[in-house]
Amino acid sequence: MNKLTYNHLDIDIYSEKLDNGLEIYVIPKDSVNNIYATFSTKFGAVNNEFTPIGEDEMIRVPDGVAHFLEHQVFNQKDGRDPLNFFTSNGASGNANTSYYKTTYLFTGTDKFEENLEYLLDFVQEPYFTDQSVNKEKGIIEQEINMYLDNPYNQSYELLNSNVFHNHPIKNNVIGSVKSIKSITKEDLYNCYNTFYHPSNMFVVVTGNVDPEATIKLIKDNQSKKTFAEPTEIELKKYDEPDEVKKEFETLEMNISLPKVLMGFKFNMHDFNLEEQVLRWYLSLLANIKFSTTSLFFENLKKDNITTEEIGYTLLCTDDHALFILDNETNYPDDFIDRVKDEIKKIDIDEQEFNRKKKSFLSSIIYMTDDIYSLNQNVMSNIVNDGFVRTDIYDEILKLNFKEFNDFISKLDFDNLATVVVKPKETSD
Amino acid sequence: MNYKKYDLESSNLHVIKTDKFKTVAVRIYFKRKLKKDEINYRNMLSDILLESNSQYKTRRQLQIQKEELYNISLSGSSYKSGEYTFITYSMSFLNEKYTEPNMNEKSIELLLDLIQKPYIDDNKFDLETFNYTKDGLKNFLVSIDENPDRLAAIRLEEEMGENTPLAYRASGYLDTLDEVTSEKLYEYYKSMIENDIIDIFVIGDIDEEKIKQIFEKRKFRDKKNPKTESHFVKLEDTRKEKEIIENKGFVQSKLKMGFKMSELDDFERKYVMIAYNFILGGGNDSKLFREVREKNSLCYYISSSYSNLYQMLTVSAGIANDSYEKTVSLVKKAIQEMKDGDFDDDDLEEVKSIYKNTCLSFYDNPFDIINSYLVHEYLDYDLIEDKIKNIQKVTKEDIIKVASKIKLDTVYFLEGGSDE
Repeated sequence: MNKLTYNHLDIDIYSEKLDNGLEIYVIPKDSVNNIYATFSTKFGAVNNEFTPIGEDEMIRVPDGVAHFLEHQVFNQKDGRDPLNFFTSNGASGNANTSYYKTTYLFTGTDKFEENLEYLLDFVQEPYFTDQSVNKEKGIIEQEINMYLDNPYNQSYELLNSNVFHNHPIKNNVIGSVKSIKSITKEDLYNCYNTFYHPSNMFVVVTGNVDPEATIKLIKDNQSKKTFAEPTEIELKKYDEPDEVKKEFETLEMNISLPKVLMGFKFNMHDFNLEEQVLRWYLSLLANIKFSTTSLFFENLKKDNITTEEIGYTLLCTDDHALFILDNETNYPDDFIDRVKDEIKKIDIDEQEFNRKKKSFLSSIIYMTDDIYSLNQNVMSNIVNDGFVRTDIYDEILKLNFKEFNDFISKLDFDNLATVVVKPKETSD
Repeated sequence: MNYKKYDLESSNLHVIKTDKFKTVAVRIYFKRKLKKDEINYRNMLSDILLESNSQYKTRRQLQIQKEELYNISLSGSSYKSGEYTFITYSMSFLNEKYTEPNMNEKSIELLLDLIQKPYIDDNKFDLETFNYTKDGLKNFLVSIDENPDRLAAIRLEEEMGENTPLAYRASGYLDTLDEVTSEKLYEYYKSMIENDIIDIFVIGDIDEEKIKQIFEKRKFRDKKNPKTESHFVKLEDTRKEKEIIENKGFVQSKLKMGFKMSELDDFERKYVMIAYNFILGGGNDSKLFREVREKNSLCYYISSSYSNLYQMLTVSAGIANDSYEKTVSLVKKAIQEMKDGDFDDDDLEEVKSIYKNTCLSFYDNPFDIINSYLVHEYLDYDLIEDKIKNIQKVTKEDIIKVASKIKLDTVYFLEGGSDE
């Protein structure tokens, strides 16, 4: 068992990698009552072309398989519903799927040992049948329909598909009604056997727990099970051009206030910076240039172009970063022109840069008060970097104004895809 | 954790001392009887006071100051609570132990400055701030119509709550928003400061006396805090069942079924109904979830919720258009099964342990702790420890008894299917 301390933050993290490859991370916090446990596989919506374990040829599975599999992992041979198990122990279970991982989780104060053991067991002993797969299709179809009414969701999906040519991040996580209807039991087993091997998975526990006992429990549980030897998973590599695929598209929906998304695509290898540092600099850029502390936003307000704050999202693949700004406005064209104009001006004040850094550092301290944010942070670290950033405080402290300016000056803001969602024209 | 209440005459100050958090949280409540034509004013006030003030005249200047104070977070809200309505201003900041001396007082003073020293020009709110806030609220009201689930919930309340505050839209009214002028809003602001019931909560690792001194120095008014009355709303008795079907062009259909209940006693309202609701449709292991989603694959989500203030139970689901009748009949069947006592003792044990867990997690969030004291004060809810004890007393017979008092009132169906 290893113990590391987050510097400046009074937080310890205990970790261990088991013989079967499973990684465990525990952050004890005795000032809270609750416990949050997550069990994740590095398998998400982007992993739909790979060589199944023990085979030689690469296959392609239908879009939406990772999410479909997440639903079906809850199907158990003994007919018991895992959510029911957690509920009957006073806890609450759930799961979610993103582009890069799938997570099973529970939160609860009571019967922690029993719950944790069950979390491992139900995920590691799934049971798919033709009948269970068919039943799931009706449920997921309704989930897809729910998202079709959500303009935020629809616009992000359209943007990704207009930015990326080949990388599967261009597809949405949930799939389409057509793709999910084609999913078979065999697809699920192919994905499960390949990606749910312990060497591709990790457990993160945050909250009121004893780290040693927690790690021992997981170790004992895993030693009772047998798994194939860990092997390297072969994933399809994508040759993704740097240019966006389509520069502009309008989408009509049942809404009243238009929405705009602007996605700037950068090749991350163009800069001599670590990915996380690049993420922080881009976030600082968005914050300084477009947040409510910016003159830019104040002027947009003054000129009545918008009343809504500008949203910022960053999406990364191995090669590219997509820097997204979003807004709701009655004047999408003006908004787009103003942003294009503004983003090319590099006139950032050092004092402002330092204030934002201080504010970043404060938010890191806020994060350590919350077991969900702490857990989430460890999970992102594992997926993005493969290790836990216990030096995060010092790393942010070290962000450097000159390096930041050099980086910004190299960004090409002409490589941009824009999506506008407009109210549907009614025929009557 | 140590709770103290001080009567500052013009307001109540509640201070909760605990070393559980690295942050200090402050929330100030203004409340009065709910009137329909005041809702837009109150919604405007919950936004505008956190937008600027006499010292920080734009949101930008204010935001810069918040960052200087170690990234303070600020939020305002306005909501209805039965016969009453609340405006809250909340702040959360890093305890000065993690930043620098005197930051606790400096931070709290910023919140007081925002509420007590708004940006007023010539007896009205600064017009730029005012117009901007109003446009924001307009967009918010427009966006409600883009969210089918929220829209369906509002429509159900309007249909069920005739002649009571349940029918009022807490989000406000677009058609009368332009009647709110900057002058009138300032008049209303003065009336809020002068006449509302004011409660101040502070929680964190703080010195209670020091906190008291800060608020004594910065009184809101000379006038005493008014007395409160009951928040509870009495809905009209169940009429003949109503069925309403509307279409606003969405893809998915939304079903809302509203039930009323009568003559519940205190224990039934506070505890038995919680157990009833949980077993029927409270979680992803409920009767409705199992029947409608798992057995019949009719939906992705279905749930029920219970409101003690209005004695009302709502079932919500997102379904396909052609599943309407089948879903309604499955819900009715589940309601009947509750009356027949067709649920396991295990289900009841689950409720008790889930409820206990939920209550215990309230202790992990400063604003949940504040809220539990507020509803103890005004809605006569029990404190967390007592809640955990009392839920244990609920029996299966209690649940069957309340089940017989629950009657379907309105079925609201927001028909979808526009893309099919």
